Amino acid sequence: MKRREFLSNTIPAAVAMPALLNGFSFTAHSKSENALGWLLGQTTDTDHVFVLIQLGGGNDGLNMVIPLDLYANYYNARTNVAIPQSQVLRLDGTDKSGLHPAMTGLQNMYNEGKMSIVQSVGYENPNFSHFRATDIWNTGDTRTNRNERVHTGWMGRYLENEFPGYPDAYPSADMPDPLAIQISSVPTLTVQGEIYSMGLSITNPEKVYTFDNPFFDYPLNSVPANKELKFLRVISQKTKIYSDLIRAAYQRASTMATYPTNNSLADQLKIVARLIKGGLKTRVYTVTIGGFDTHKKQVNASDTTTGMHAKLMKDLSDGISAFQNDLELMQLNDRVMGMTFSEFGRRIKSNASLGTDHGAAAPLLMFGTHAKKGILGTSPGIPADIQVVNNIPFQYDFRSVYASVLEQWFCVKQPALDQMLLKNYQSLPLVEGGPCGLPETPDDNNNAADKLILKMWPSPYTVSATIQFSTTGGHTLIQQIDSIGRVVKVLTNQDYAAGTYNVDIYNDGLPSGVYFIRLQNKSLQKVLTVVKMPQ
Amino acid sequence: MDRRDFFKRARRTAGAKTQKRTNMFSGLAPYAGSWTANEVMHLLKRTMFGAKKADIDYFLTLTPDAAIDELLNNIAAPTPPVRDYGLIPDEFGVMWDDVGVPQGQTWVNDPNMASNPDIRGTINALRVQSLRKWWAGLIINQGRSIQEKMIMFWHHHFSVKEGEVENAQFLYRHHALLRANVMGNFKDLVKEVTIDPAMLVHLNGYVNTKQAPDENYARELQELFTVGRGQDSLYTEDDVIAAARVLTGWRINMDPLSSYFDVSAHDTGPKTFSSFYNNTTIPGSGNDNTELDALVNMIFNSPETARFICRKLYRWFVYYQIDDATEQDVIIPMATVLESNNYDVKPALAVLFKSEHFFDAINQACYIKTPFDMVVGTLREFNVSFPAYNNYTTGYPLFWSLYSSAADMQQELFQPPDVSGWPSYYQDPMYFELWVNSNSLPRRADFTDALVNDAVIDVRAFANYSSNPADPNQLVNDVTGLLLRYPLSDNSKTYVKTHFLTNNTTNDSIWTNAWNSNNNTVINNSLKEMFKFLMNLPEFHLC
Repeated sequence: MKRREFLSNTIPAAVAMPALLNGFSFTAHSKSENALGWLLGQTTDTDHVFVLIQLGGGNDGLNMVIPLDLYANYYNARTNVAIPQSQVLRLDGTDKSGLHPAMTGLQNMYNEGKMSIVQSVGYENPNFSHFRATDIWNTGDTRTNRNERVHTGWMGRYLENEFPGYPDAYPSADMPDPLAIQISSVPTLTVQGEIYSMGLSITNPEKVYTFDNPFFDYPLNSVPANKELKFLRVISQKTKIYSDLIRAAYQRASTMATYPTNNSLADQLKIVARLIKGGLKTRVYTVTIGGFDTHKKQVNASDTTTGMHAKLMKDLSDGISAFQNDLELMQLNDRVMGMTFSEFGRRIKSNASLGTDHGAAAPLLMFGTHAKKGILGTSPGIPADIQVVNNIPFQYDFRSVYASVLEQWFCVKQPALDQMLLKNYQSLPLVEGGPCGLPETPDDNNNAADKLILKMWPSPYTVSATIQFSTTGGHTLIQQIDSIGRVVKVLTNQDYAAGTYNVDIYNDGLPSGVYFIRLQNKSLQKVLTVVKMPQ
Repeated sequence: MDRRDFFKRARRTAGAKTQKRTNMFSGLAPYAGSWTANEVMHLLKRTMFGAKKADIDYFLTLTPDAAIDELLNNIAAPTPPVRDYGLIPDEFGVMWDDVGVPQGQTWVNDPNMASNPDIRGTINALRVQSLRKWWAGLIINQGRSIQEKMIMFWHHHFSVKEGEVENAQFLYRHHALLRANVMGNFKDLVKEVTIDPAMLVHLNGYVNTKQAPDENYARELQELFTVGRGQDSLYTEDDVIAAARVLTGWRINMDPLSSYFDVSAHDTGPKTFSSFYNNTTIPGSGNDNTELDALVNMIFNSPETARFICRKLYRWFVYYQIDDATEQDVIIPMATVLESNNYDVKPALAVLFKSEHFFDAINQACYIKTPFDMVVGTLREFNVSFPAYNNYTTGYPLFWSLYSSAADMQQELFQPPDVSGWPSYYQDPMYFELWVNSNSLPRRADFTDALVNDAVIDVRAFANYSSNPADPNQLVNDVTGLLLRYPLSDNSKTYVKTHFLTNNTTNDSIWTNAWNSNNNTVINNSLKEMFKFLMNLPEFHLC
């Protein structure tokens, strides 16, 4: 299938729909069903499950996946929190990156081909507020203008498209179980639909709720009060129905692996495995582990491989590997994949409090039997003369990861895929051996990307410069990213025939400093560091 | 019909009635409508936790203006929390005393540096517990004042949490600052909170130095506390960096607890801001307050600051949806009142609560109760009596259960979920609806069921609020009128009556005879089942 042009200027009309519906009158619900109906709203027959692990607070990606090939610059930038080179966990088949020493479980999973790393995942205008950045990751919408932004989650849009009419028409024969389950006290935006959350929040799968509301009328003539009453009635009714289903499923199954104790992530994943084993057809589970906002005391001064972040990395690694083991013993591992994400990575340069401040792009982890083994992308560029403001430029847009998961794990087709992600994004090689997978592997992809030409002269430049690049043909994008991680120029964005081309920079009006030139050609990408000198 | 259309229609209706609306929908013009139990309950349930029958009756004797003025009055400052714990075991089971403070005395001035170092952590945890009990005790014992709900607003606004601060003395001092300024000056409060020790820890101000700037507080000061992220709030990333430089050098002294300015850690260079702040330059200064004052003045010179806090107050007290009409006719005029009163909050709140907009039918019964509305509001409405807030022997343990019940439903004192407070007041599109989900709804049901099953509430006494409890129709009408802001239809009331009071028949005398013959078994069992049912209704979650 030929993908439509990336960053197409024409956003299809339906994309604007969720924003137009201000969610006020619940009569809008039927309208929204119609609006989404045209998105090929046919339920896909799949038994696949996806697990999202949110690392709340902003995970320090540089201390999770340590750049061994740039170790000197890494160490220089964050001497007081750096993981000693000798203690970094090595990964089979690569000398470029290794894992935090507490992550032995995920090291084994990587070496067994059950875990992959996507380097420097981010977006064009990194936001450093927890609140806003979390919304961006959950909605998949980076627009700065509030009035343009959607209020739905990326998974919510997928589920709403698959199961139009939720919650009124559910449970149904096609979907007799919750669409998504969030192991949390409060629903998050990830699974938010236009009016309702597509997910059910639970913390205790055995909770009993029996109230059966006999009243359906609306004696008040008040739009807001009726909206809230309708909401409460639906929640009450669905809580009763779904809590019975969840409890039954949970009690049908039992845990088969040994999970670590004192590990909230493991506790949550243990519930997820039991619910899947218990027969729920729920497609999406979300779990959360907090505490990643490590401004201070991220490491112990005496030993940087210990401390708060080490405990988090251990919990993450032990939790995921116990979950994978459980799924294998339950013989469910072919059906389940997952990924980690965090609202942002942390600053390259550490601060004086043994911590790191809010940053931009960071690696994320894909796990499961069908995760493609390997590391997609290169180690992030770390300047030798590190400044406080320097951030990691993104190599992969987070929505490319989402698009690839929906495409390769849930077999979502165009044009629905572009609708769910609000635009067209790169397809990345993330899933192996699935029913809708791609033939590439991360290594093939990296090798092909390495072969792309990307040069600039003169370098450094002052007023004018020429960038030479090659393309394998098709859509090709070149962005210029500043040291904070923001895209400040788009140098080209169009289809090319295979070949080598030049683009010129002249009097670009940018302040002097470090920049990154990011070339993207279909699923390939490459980043070049350049410097602009003062005139 | 959307909200705006509805407003327009309501305006026309109101205009026809009062003959004085000319060109506005129900904006901030003074409310001149009727003053019945309906309006009083609306006002009380929004500004206090629950509307007690006695309070409803009391405020009905006042004019609306007098009622609101009384609610907005400050209540005398309470005495601080006290040590309610005994000896403390160490890890070997040896018992130690908190030598800084005797039992029954306040710990808020003691820096916890005198006791055995091994148990200081436990002492601190016990003091935090006593602080939570104390505040819950003040909330359940609230007088006829907006005070406790408004302190909770400031707590939501500044969102200082125990998990970050980890020091009871700091937390109390911060809380006392909010309490002292609860109906005071917003600008002064922002300035004081900026250098408050708890906030200096919470958002890293105390490690923000010239040598290693930390932007955490400078960012949240603008995004969350003052100008906000509204459509016209166009401050830049460079403004965050410049504000952080202004705020370098503030440190904390532990004994006595205070903050101070360390000029050697302060960046004395000039700081230049973007066009959003009129390209203001704050010159470097070695004086502790000069730059801070200039920064706060600059931020408060932006009209966005008043608008932002008014939107937040609106969402706290009225409803979460702010459409264009509300922005133009409520938020902006309210912000003007705030600015023209030099950021004193009381006149701005007064104009909001006294407005026809606040009492507009469209704004009634649409607020989803918070966990504290559910826990404290229900207990107060059933007139459950509690010991005084300063009674640490019998009161504190009960206050702890209030704190725990609300925390269980996702509203924990001194521990808002993140730096932006509780998502129910900012998270689009669900807002209030986030309080009630498949996780929290069963907990709310467990709580109200337990109140009845464990005889915490006296169902008989509540039935006696009815003008004629022997008449099942009157009884259902009166108790649902008091408990539910969203009314039941006549059919639903009939359902309640026949289902719970007249043994599934149409024979009203079954109940009347039981009541008049004082048949305790029948009366109590019927009322218990009826009240459990009523408090499980979705309508009960609205106020």
